[in-house]
Amino acid sequence: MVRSEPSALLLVTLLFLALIHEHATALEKRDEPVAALPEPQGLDPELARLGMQLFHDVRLSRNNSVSCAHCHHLGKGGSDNLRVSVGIEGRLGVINSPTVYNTAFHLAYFWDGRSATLEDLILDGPLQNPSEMGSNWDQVLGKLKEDRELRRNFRELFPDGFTAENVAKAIAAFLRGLVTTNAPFDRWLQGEETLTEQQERGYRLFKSYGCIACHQGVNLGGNMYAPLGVMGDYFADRGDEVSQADLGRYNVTGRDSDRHVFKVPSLRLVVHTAPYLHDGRAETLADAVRIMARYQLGREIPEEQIEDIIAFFHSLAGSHPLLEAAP
Amino acid sequence: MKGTNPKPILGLILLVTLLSAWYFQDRLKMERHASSYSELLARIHNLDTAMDRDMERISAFHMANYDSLVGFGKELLKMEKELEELTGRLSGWGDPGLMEGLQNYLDKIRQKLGLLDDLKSKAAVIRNSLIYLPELVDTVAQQDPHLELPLQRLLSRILGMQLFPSVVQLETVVSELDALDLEEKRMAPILGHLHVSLREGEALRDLAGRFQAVESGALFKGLQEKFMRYRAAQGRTPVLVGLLLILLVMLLMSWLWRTLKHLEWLRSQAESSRHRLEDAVESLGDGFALFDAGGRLLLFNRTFGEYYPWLKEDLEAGGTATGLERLIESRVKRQPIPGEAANSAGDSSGEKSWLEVVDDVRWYLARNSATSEGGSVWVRTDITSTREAEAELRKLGRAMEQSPVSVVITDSSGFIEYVNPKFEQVSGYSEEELIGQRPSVLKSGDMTENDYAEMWQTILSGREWKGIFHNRRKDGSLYWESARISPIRDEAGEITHFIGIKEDITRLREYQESLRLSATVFDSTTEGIVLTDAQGRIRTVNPAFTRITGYQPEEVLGKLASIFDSEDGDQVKRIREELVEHQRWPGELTDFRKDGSWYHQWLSITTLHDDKGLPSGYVIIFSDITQHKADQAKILHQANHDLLTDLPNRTLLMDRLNQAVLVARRQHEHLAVVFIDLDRFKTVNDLYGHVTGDELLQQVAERLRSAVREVDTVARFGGDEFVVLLQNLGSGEEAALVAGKIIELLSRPFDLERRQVTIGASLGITLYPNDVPMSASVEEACNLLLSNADMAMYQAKARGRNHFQFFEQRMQEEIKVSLVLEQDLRHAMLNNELEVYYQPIHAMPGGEIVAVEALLRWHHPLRGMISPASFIPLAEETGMIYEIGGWMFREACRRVQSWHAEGQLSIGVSLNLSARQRDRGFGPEELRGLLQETGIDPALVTLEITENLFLEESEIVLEWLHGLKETGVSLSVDDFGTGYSSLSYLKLFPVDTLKIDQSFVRGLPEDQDDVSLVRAIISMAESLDIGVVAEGVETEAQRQFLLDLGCRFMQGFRFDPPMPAAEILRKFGTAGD
Repeated sequence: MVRSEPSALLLVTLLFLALIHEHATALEKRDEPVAALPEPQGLDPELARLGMQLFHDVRLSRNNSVSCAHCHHLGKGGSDNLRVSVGIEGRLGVINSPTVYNTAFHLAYFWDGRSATLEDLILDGPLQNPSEMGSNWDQVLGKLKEDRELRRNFRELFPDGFTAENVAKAIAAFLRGLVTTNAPFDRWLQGEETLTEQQERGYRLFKSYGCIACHQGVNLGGNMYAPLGVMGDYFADRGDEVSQADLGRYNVTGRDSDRHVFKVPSLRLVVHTAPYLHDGRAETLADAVRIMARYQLGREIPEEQIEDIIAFFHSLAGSHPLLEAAP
Repeated sequence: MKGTNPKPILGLILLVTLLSAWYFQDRLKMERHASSYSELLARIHNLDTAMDRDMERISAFHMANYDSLVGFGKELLKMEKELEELTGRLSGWGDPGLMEGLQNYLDKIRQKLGLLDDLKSKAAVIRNSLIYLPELVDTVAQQDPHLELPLQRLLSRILGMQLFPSVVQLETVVSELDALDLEEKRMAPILGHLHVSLREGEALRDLAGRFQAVESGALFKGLQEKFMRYRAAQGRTPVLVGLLLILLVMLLMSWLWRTLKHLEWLRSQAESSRHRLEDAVESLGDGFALFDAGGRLLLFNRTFGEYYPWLKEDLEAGGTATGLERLIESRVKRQPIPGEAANSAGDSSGEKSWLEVVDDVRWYLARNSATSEGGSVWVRTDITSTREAEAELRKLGRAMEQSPVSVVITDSSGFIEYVNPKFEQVSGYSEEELIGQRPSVLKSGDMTENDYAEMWQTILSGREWKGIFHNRRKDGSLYWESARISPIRDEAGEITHFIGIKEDITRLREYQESLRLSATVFDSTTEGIVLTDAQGRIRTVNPAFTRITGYQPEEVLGKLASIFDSEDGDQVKRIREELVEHQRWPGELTDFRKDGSWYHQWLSITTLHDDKGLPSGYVIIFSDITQHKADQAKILHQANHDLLTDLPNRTLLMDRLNQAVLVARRQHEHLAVVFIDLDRFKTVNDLYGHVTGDELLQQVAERLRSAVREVDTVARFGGDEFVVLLQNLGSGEEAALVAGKIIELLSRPFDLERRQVTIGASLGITLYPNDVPMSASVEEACNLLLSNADMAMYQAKARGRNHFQFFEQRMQEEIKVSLVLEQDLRHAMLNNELEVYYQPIHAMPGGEIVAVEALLRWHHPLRGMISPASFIPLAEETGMIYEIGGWMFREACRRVQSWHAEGQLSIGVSLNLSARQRDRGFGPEELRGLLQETGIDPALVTLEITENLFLEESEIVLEWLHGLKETGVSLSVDDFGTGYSSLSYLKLFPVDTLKIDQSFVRGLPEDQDDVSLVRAIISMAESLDIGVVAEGVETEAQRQFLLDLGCRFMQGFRFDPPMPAAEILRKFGTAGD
């Protein structure tokens, strides 16, 4: 009896090892130039909650009519579905407003990448832009300081209380939490069979047409700059006068080689954020794919392939409680 | 200690210690700076290395994605900030070049990062081409299979050239390409991508070269060496100094330690013997002094010295017995011991004793005795406490006399032996009256015998009794007394007396009673009560306070009441000022509960004053009115909002509009009022019922809300009408933008619970101040804006569904005109201004006239001929169409009948029937009457009904149509093709003819849409055996085309315009011939 025990133990151990081995190999991760979006880590929930409150606070604008959420509607994919945004007093902006989801993984902010961090973006961005919020920090802090509960929140969270930097920190913390996880495509990357045949076909086309060269990484974009119009002159064909915003990164660096160079936009929530391109000229996804094919690849793509690629785009959108919340 | 003074040595040690502390502190700071510097340097170098590595991978196209590079820019920015901060903190540290070097290094990294971003972009473009080229080659090769091999080779050359530019030369690729000798068109895409690939490849290699040329590595090495050199130089001097200092300190310490040890040993030897003797004397409790035979002081203890503190110096100096005695007598009063009076002079034993009083306070028993050696021993015992006890007893007696409480002493049988004056005062009896009596003379009779029995039992058993008596004074009044009765025992332990101590507590009891009442109110009231001191610190709170705020008393006692602890300093100040002025402040405030939730409170503070009239505290009474306020808000909300959609109702809209106009007028802003009317809502409501209609309205409300900004107002105006108020507009264009958005949103299908429906909306927009006269008051402006928007909405609806229309002044004019027109139309019939015209309908191909369509004309006395298009809708709207229609029917039928009867012209007549006529009751009965009245053969009459009529309530319409048909007339569908429904209904309805709408005929034969539609109508009519009449035929081409399609009947200017009856007769009649 005594001698049989070790062998029984061995058997059980082997069985267990076999089981976990089985389990470990059941799902094999796929090696692709795109990676799954990671869950946000290490965020202070109190700070993020304060940030969320400020994100929706109209007092950030000069006449208390516009909040961040005004142009970055969280229930509508973090954007406003307008060609250009409408700011205070109904003023029209000059550029298409990008989504605020998944921005934590961008190499810089704005279409021309003029802010290196989310905090910089908040400190010196839409708040002062006369056609967006048209305000300034003195004015905004003055208004916010009137709010007793807000003052209490700031005192609890920051030793130095109310400063523009702290407002920026709070909003930035909130933004870092806006990550859309668990997209069908991400689960597919983990080895699950979550894509339809059409979506897989779309992804193969997306790669074989070379789109993947720029739209790669966790965000399928957002980590590099690229010129608009490699194989053709987009701006000449568009016809309208070339605006300051059309110059792109040139506005930041002043180098001729940066004319019409933009941050490659992320395709993660592209199915929610029509219209497209910095000028919002592509009204539908199909238009956007057509323009990309024409100017970046130098060809026309058959309509059924465009449908396949769009089907693939639908697999990229993950979920976030605020994205699903009713508008 | 051989004259050695340790103080300078100690000073020296202190100095050395301080010096070393300062020195090491300084060293430590230097170390920290050096480590901050080297750490930053290392981090920059790490980033540099990572960038170099990634540059290689990007240039070789080995990088699948760029996520790992995203952090570089942020890291660099962080380090730049740190360097700036470090430069400030490290001023004065290091060699001059070190900080600049670091800045320089960071600048190089910034430069490299810029190049790296460009590299990423170039590499991506090339990768794009490289990935895509095989696809392209495949496409070309499919068309031309023999090209596949050479193209593949070209492809691998291009790939090789991109990956190993030094091995595969550009010329090789170009010659390969030339060898292919392809036609230009097919090669264009390949050439295009090749061109991009070559151009960008060139740029990429150039960038890589520039990246590598950035001298960051050398800079790092230089900096590192420089830093090491500085560190080495810094390290040498301090080590020497440090060692010297440590050595010195150690030497000093060891010397000091030895010296102290020696000193200690000597001292202990000298003193140990003396201590032994002194200890013995000291251990005596009494004062003690010993003199030798010569009277010299040998020894005394500390107690002796303390008894005569003024002898201190003489004792220490070793005085004599006589000298000391004299000094003692100078301060001391001697008294004989009571009972031993004669003894003070001395007795046989040579012992003398007496009492000494020092300063009237201390009493000593003094005893001097001779020793066997002829000397003397003085012993002093302190008896002060005994003397004081005696004095105390005397005081007690006096206290008893003056005591504020009643005292009574009885013997063991309870007969009074003593009462104090207070007792007399309270009871009203004099001492004489009471002595020898029992205390029961005071009995009021309110207490039971049991109470007294219990008392007696307690005190007789030797214990103290405590209780309360309700007694009667001599004057008969009652009073309450609290009493303690204790037995007094003699030395043998026998009870000899009882002592009773009593206090009149009548007032106290009354006070307690009122206090108890107050406490009950305090505890049971629903209002929270807080009592504070003058500073606002909480002293008491009641249970309601805990109930409302959630704070337990112990959590808040001693803290500032929140009203005095507000962060809103202004408010606290205001309240304090109010309190100073009026002693009271009532008001409404918001505060937080313990759980963090806030609540509204109604609060009243009252100042309390002390005896001097100064503020001594505050009473804060408050109640939680959150629910009350919420209820109020809810009632207000309900009064101002639509129950179904929760949108503002008309009342609130008017209020906001008023407000908005006021603001706009003051600030010179623009605003827009958009009036929205749902298309087809009535149909949905009628078809699917109110529940579905309500659900639809709710969804419409939701979409409207989502279409506008938060500052804008969306209101339900009534039924299916909504009004949107857009404030602070930049331009009318913005209103148009919003209107477009609303139309787009509302024309999307609605998913209702049981079905999906699609409706639409018509919008009217008016702008302030543009559409309102300057002179209008605010109220007039509001009303004008609403009626303008309403008017514009009707105009939009008239243009067709899903339109919006800006208000124009013209509309008002038009309304005015149509009002006048309406008046005139009422007179038109009476004044014979209306006339029936007839337009012939011809049979093809012969062209003979088969019928006429009766059409109405109006000769206005002032305005001439008025088009039916302007007055028929008016007639329909006002209902006059009914009378006019009847009149026209009679007129036309009589006319055609008379032609027929007189043999002049035998043709049919078509009459238009308006849906409004049916609404007013026109039906088979009336038709039969009219036919009889005019005497016309029903077979000659055709009623033209518009297609729209068939869409409604099919069952009822069907019955109605059959009724008409039974009278013998024919039915024709007018304007066929313009309606919305399918053609299938034709099978259901008893229709004889279709009239193809002239809008379709107009496009023939060019417009392909019209052609196919007309063709479909004709062939379908043929298959259903229904006749077809084409309206509005204007050209020969149209006639020919329709004829070819098989259309048998036509009407239009190609043949004849509408004309008066006489003209018809002249042109087609036979009698005249």
